[in-house]
Amino acid sequence: MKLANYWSEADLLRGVKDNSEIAIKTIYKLHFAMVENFIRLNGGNSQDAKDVFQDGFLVLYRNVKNDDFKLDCKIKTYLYSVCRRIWLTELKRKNKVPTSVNELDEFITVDDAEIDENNEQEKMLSHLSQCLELLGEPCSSLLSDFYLNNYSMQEIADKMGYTNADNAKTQKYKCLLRLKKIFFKNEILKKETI
Amino acid sequence: MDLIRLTELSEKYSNGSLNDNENTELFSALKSDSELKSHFEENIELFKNLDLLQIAQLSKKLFYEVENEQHKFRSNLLFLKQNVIRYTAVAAVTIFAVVGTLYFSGWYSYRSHIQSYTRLGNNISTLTNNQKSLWSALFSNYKSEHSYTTGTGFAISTNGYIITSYHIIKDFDSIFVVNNFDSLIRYRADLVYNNQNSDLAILKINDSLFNSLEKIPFKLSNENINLGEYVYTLGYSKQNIVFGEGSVSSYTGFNEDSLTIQVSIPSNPGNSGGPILNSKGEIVGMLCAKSNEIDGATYAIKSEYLYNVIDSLNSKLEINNKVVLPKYNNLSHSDRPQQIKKIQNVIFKVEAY
Repeated sequence: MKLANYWSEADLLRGVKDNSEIAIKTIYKLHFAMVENFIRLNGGNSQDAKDVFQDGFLVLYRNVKNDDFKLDCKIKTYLYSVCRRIWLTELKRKNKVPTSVNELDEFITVDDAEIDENNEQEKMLSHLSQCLELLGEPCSSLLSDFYLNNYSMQEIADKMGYTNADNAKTQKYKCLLRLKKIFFKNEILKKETI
Repeated sequence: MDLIRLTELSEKYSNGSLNDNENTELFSALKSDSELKSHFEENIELFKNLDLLQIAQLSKKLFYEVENEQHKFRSNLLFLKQNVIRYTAVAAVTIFAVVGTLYFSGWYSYRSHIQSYTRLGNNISTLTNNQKSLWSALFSNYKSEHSYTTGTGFAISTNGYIITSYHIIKDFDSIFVVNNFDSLIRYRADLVYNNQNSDLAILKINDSLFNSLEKIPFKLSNENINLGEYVYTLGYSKQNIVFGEGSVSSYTGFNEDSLTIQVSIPSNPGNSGGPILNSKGEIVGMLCAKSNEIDGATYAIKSEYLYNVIDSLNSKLEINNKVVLPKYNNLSHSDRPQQIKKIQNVIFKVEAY
């Protein structure tokens, strides 16, 4: 647990950018408690806090991936501000705007556009995972294994019975073309049998 | 350049592993072909989304792991502190147990015999029952082959959108909905949304006989659910509509699933897809499953999740075809029989063939 203190802010951001598991865990260890306190003080429970923190983390991640992005405050402040904004928007959507917000820390102002973008992104992701599911075998598990579960091409070839990694790779690109077709169609998806 | 090569190069471009030759190959091809360029942009967008989906799933898993570690760490600490107390307690209990057994063993020998006899009697009757059921299963002509299923569904907008459970209609291709009141009219319905994981489906009545429903009397609740709150359901566990009541018994459902709640309403096959209403007549959830291990545990999907699903469905529907959720609840001042009288018009029996 103590190890968490030895990260510098810049290291941590770089770790997040490289999808390092330890960095992501460290972010959670260091900053989740505060977000949880904030949400509990303002009419939510710990499950809400987990959801909001997850969303807030994705906002941070998306920004860190973008090279133009410069964080001009501490990670803690940034995450707190984003989560705070997400939670207040959520309360507004439920028609439960609080008369006064219990603050725990200083915060920076977060654009509404950022939150809207986050909601859009969330819809996109659920759309994408639905598309992946509807793709059918073998494409569905091939793509999920490679892109979501980080298997290597060779492992996938062994697992799914392709003669070599190159064959599996060609198959993967064919699957991607199909996925692209249904992902950008933007209509209601249903199973083809019904 | 063919599309497969393009996909390969766009992937390398996205993760920054494009070398100089490939770079020139890609961009010279893009310059000359505008169609290829739009494909390329779509590719980049898709890879960005795949990456985000990965990190979303990964971070969820990691957060969960950290939480478990912290929990273990805390319980270990607790364990150390309590060690001393525990040893004393164990010693005391052992001494008490030894003395107690010695003292009482003479007394209880007679009664325990009777108990074991009755137990044995039960055993024999269970054995006979099992034998009988095996016999009848082997030699009857009846085959349990599902040719159709039924369940419950409730309307949420006057233009004919109905929420129900996905497992009812999963294996079938024709869906019909029947109302308790005019049971002669059987509307055909189409599936417009399904989700296997959360077991939720949204149907739309699509029938030449169908105009529109009358007013929807309830609304989806947007208040927090309280433990112990009174709830009831209406469902078609037989030909006619059946009422069942209970209370909210847990904030989470099967395996601590936070999309669902646990309610103590007795449920039977056919109840799936029914609405769970609170005392004000607002919908707090949709009944979806029951536990076969815990007695009287029925699970229901939270109304909050229904909201979200309808929201995302609406963004894909055309403007004159959207799900228009009722904004007001007309039932809060009526007593229960009055509420049910109004509600049962919009509760349908869902039949899938």
